Amino acid sequence: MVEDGSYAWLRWIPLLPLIAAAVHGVSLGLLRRPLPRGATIALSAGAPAISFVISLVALIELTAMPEAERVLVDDLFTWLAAGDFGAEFALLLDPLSAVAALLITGVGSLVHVAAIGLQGEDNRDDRGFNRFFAYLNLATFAMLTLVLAENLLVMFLGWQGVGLAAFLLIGFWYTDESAPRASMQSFIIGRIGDFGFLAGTLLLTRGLARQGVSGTAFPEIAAGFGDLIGITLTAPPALGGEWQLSFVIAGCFAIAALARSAQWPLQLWLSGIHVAPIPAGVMVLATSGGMAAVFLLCRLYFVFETETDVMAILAWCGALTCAVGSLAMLVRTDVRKVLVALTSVQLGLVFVAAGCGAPSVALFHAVTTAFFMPLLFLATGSIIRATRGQTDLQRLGGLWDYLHRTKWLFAVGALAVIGAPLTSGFYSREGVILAANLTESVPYNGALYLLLLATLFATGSAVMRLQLRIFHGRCMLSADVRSQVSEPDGVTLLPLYGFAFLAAMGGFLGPAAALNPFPVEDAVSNSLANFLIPLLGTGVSLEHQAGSVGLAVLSTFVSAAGALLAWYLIHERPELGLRLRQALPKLDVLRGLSLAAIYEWAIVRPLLWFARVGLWAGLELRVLDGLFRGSVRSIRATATGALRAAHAGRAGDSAIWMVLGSLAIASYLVA
Amino acid sequence: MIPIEHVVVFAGLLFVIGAAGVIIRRNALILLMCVQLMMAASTLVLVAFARLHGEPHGQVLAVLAIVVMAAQAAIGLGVLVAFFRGRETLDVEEARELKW
Repeated sequence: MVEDGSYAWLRWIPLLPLIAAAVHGVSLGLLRRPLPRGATIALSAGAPAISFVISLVALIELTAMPEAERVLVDDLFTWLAAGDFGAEFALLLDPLSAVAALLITGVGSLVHVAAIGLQGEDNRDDRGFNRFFAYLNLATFAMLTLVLAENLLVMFLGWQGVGLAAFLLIGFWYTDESAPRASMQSFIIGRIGDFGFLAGTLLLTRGLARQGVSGTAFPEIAAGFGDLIGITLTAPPALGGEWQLSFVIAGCFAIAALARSAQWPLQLWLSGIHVAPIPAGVMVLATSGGMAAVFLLCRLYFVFETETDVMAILAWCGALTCAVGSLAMLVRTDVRKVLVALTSVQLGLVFVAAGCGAPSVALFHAVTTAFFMPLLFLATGSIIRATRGQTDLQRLGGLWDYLHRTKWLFAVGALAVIGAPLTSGFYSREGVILAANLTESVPYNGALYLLLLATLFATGSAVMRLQLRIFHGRCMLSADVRSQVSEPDGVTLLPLYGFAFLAAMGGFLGPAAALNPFPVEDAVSNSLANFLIPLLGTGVSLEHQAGSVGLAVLSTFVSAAGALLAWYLIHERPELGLRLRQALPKLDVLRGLSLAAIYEWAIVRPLLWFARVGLWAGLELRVLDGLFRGSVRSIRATATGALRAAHAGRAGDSAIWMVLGSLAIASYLVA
Repeated sequence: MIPIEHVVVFAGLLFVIGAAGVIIRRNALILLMCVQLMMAASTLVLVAFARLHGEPHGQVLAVLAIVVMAAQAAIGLGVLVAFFRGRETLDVEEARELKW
């Protein structure tokens, strides 16, 4: 298995999904003959499943090694060699990437399987089924490249791939009016993050090169980064004069992470995700978007660790995302929008944990989010399908007696989100609360803490509202739709059971396992935290957590209170709830307008004005056209006749002459 | 490492395909892509020789060329969109008013 110290089989983890995507690409794009349904399913769902098995083997290999040496490397080829600088195309599997790769392949496989059922009848054009799986495979490949990257450049490749996959998945129904707009939005906001990633990489590489470290491999930059602290960058006075290099680098990567996981203020693209197919939304938001961002934060934690200002910004951006998302999930009436907002709140909690100096907690909450949010999304997906595309919470209701399996699956997800004891959400949310409670580096941490509690309260209310509006109360569906409501088929339910198991039991992986009431072996119960300690430091330690049962109970109690309030308002006092619901959207409009309006007035309008008035009316019409017309007129006056006939004014002819002319010049130069 | 001859022949083929496309095809979008293909071929040669000599200059030039290509693609697409809005077609035969 071992070839000169490297593990050549690692490459198959990302390669298999890529091959699956490529086969679809060839069959759809070149041959124009989509694969038959069975082959599509075997290929597309099989690839991530086999990758999962390989990742599992890698994990076992890793745990067998001594703790300090847990790194597997697969060096494929030399990607870049330019003077001293070089980058290998290499994959690296350490505890951090092992956890991420297992999550992506494991959860990814389940999403693939669920998509078979949910997308099965959803073909608006005849190649939709295959195209969807091609995109899902591409997204899996991109995420795996990102997490297994050995250096920043390979990681950037994966990062771009995740952005592309998000664009394709959100815009899947491209003939609809809203999908192209939504995918465009995600892409453009993503570019802001890409710019941050690229700028951070360039600054980091250049700074390190001056210290004599060439290359971008993570072990090297982690070791060399300490030398960069204290170096200043000189910027023009308009940009603030002197900047700390390490601060700027951390800030650039923070922008990248914020944009990729739709955190405030780069969250505009959240508003469009609900138009995507449900499995696509799961892939974009719960598994790849959030995971990519939190992985970046963890992988480059040595960059953020020393920059308390950037950490504080991350924590507060996460908290503001929570606040904005809480409002959204309370007032939206489209069930998909509520779920998107709920996910963004979970990702906000992840950022709060990371910003408060607890990266392993952040990673853990991202992992549990990737357990319970897909469960809620996919359960909702099968509800929507069962009710012939009904997504309006006002019109759903009373489905408790119709969906005997889905209702319990949904309930498990709901319990995990509100942090019912023993579910995965209980442990991971408790870690976040603890991190926010303990932190001293984040300014106004008291306000942050209160904001988190308010968020948990709102989460409880929102989840209870979903539960009541979907399953209880009067059914608003028309009689013929109601008579046809039925459970999804087994292929959709099976992954839901998988997610339900993970959402219920996932907590025992986590750093909060000290609270674990069951006598499980230590090696299992504390595994994730212990596993990651060599990479991320202890952060919030287990001793802290053992003493924090009170906090865990508090956070659950707050959510339960929120749920109770929602129940009271919807069930007992609907007239009060109605009045509240009429009042809340006013707040929400304020929120929805603010960001979009700021972007509109600060960026879009000035650009358009500059383009219309400055470039078009000023430069083009007056200066360029004037010059051009004048010179053409003078040429026409002097050179007429044969030349004039040769120029017919056809663009195609001009192109041909241009090519032939350049070829003539080139052959003259060469000969 | 891939032998330099292979890369040069490959780049030459790419270039010829691009040039042939520019001459033969009539769809403006495909013309633009063919021009990009030709430029990509020349960039590839730059990088290949830079690696052969182990010097960064060719790669620096290649990065520069890629940036120029991106800018050119943006402008080209902008022109195409404007053209399409005016005429509802991308056939370059329709663009016969360059004379004025």
